[in-house]
Amino acid sequence: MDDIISLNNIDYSYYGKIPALKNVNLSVKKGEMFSIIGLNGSGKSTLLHIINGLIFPDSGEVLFDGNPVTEKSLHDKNSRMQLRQRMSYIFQNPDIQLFCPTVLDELLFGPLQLSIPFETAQERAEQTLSYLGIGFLKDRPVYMLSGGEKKKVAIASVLTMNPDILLIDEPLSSLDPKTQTFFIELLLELNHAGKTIIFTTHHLDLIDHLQPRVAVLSEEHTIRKTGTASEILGDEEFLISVNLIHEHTHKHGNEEHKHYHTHYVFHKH
Amino acid sequence: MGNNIPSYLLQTSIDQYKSANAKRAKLSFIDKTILNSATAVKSIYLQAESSVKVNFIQKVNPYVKLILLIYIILMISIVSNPGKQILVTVFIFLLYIIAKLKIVQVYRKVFLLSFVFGFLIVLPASLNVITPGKIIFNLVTFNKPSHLWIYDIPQNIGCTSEGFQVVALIFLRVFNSVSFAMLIVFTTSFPAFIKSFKILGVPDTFLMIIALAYKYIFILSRTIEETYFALKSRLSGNIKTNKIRKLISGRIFFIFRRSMIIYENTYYAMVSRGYGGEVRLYSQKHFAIKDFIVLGIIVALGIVIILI
Amino acid sequence: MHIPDGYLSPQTYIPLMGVFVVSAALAVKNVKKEVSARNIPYLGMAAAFSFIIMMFNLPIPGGTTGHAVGSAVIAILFGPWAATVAVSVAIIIQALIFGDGGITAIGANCFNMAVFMPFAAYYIFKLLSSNPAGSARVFFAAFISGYLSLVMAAVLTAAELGIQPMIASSSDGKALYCPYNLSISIPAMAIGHLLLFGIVEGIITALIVSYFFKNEPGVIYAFRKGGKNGD
Repeated sequence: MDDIISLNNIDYSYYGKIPALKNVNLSVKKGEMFSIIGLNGSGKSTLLHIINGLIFPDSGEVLFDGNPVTEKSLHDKNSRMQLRQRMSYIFQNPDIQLFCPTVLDELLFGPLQLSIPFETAQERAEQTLSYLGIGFLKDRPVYMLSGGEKKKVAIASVLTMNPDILLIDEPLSSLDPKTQTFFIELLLELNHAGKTIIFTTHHLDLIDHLQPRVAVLSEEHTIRKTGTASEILGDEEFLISVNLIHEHTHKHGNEEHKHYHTHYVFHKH
Repeated sequence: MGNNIPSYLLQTSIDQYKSANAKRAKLSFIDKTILNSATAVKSIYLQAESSVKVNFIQKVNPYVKLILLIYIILMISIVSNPGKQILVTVFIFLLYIIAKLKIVQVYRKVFLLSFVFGFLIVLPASLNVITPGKIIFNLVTFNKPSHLWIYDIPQNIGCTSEGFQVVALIFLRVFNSVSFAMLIVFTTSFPAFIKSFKILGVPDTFLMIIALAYKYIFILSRTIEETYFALKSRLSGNIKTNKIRKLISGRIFFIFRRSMIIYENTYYAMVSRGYGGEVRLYSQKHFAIKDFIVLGIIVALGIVIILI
Repeated sequence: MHIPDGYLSPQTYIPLMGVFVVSAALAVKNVKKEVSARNIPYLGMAAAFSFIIMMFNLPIPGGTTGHAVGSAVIAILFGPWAATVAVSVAIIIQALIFGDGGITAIGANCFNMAVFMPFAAYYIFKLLSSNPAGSARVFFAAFISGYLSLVMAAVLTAAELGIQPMIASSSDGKALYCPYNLSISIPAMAIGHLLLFGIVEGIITALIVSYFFKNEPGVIYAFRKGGKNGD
């Protein structure tokens, strides 16, 4: 029983009409690096919302450390605070995730909501700022920062709560290559430090870099396959069947050529 | 691609369209909207840029600056001698030099605002019909005084010296208020400035709403700018006015939906970090000796100006 | 409509500031009741939207373009209490960052455009539109709501300005603040707003409300039962 999160038979639809998740089952172990991959609109973000207890499934069960997470269970202040402290969510769009007046406020917000003493919160904020190399942004308003800086602030703002689990929606979206490398290394380091990391992506090369356990969410909003990174990446036929890579035809004049197209460069060893 | 490219795409588009004779709508509303949103974005940038500079006034504690703002603005509104107001104008100008602000840029804005609101609007008050007194500059002479509905119209209409004093006083007051407010705003980071309102007892909830609104304004203004450029690039002018109204209502609706989504997600992001309905904002309460000196000097100068 | 610094005497702007502070506190409390913990992001968004709506220029009859104050639209879309907070936050930001409207006059401007006008607009709209309503009826109700509430707010503003010569003049009778008395300020403001700005406000209010009504009537506060939000 070292599953930190398990989802059993989850169904979710928007406004009771538009299906977003169908009969989803998955479990994540403590300290694991876990990835949910799928196309746009397959329900990846919705799944993270459910894991984080922000929205609740129409049917099915969410267990966090063996305890059910429901709308009712989160009315209890203690279990709510525990969930919020132990599990943090980094949204895809930092403009939305960040809402405080300054960078420092962002870092202090979580700890102060959890009634962590101010001095401790401040100490954590200072350490985190210097860990991520963004101390110079401390008093700046967040909306003025660049995309990469915002993403760093977004991560910093949840790290100060010292969560056990990090939920990250599209960790590399709209980042330049240098910042992407920074984040890949950061995620590996945090994982080695014992943090459970769950992220979503549609970039297969990220799976190759991080080697997480992978669950594939299909366009039918259901989990088609779960396995290790190499199991998933090795199965070209399967990846084609869920449209994560596709056959591609070009016509240049009379010449026609065909190849598999993906962001992922297959490493043939 | 599975199908062949449509044949019209292979033709060049020159001379395909002649200007239609239909009643053409003016497209100036697009440029005006772009201008409005761009002005907002620019002002926010300008404010953020000048407020992070490290000069003397920028470093004064925000609480002190807020107290000074209220004190000086109240003083300007009480002092009713044009000569004393000029002293205040000179004093504020000196502060601008100390703050090393882009004087031309900021003063141009101050002049414009106070010309419209402090000069043009009060100019008629220089006439004897509003401010009675000795006419020093006659404009119109009638045969005899007359009476129209509730208004008495004297034989001579002209500017009075008392009238000029009234105009001068109000112009200077508007000018001084705007220039001092701009001085404080442009030397204080917006978040720090908003947080300084705590000292007046404004609850954190309200301050958080202002800070969030400010951020949304910035984001949404840029969205409007972008969507209007897109609109501009697609509209040729052969469009009826009522179509345009529908189009703009549609844009407003789009911005509304977009704001709703942003707000929903912000709410989730807040909940995810432990938010339960109340916020506590952190603010720096550290006062340096310098802060007290600045406070002391400016308060003392204000008292001197009122008393002399 | 935005009163600048220098036109109102302290004996006018201080009480108005007091009235505004009480209204804003009541408004936050009421919105909290409607949307519970969502109140902070909800009101932040509504405030930004009411700031933004002033940016949109629409072609109006006569070949020119105009924009609205927006208090009426905001009140119909978000309800009068949320509008009170939203419009006043927009006014505060305008006064502080954009120099539009005075700092001493924040209380007065908020009272006129963020407290009085939204409530007037909301109840005029409620009175004239029936629920369920036809689209012509909604257009008409929204137009009258925008038109009348703006004209009324303008007259209120004119009254605040027009009493200045009476309550604050120097010993020799010279004006110290707004120099125009009621017999000038009220006709001057009323004529402009009756003939031009009121019509612009009415048209824009009607266009936006109608568009929302046609496409997603559920988002309009004035048509929601009990005024519940956000689900």
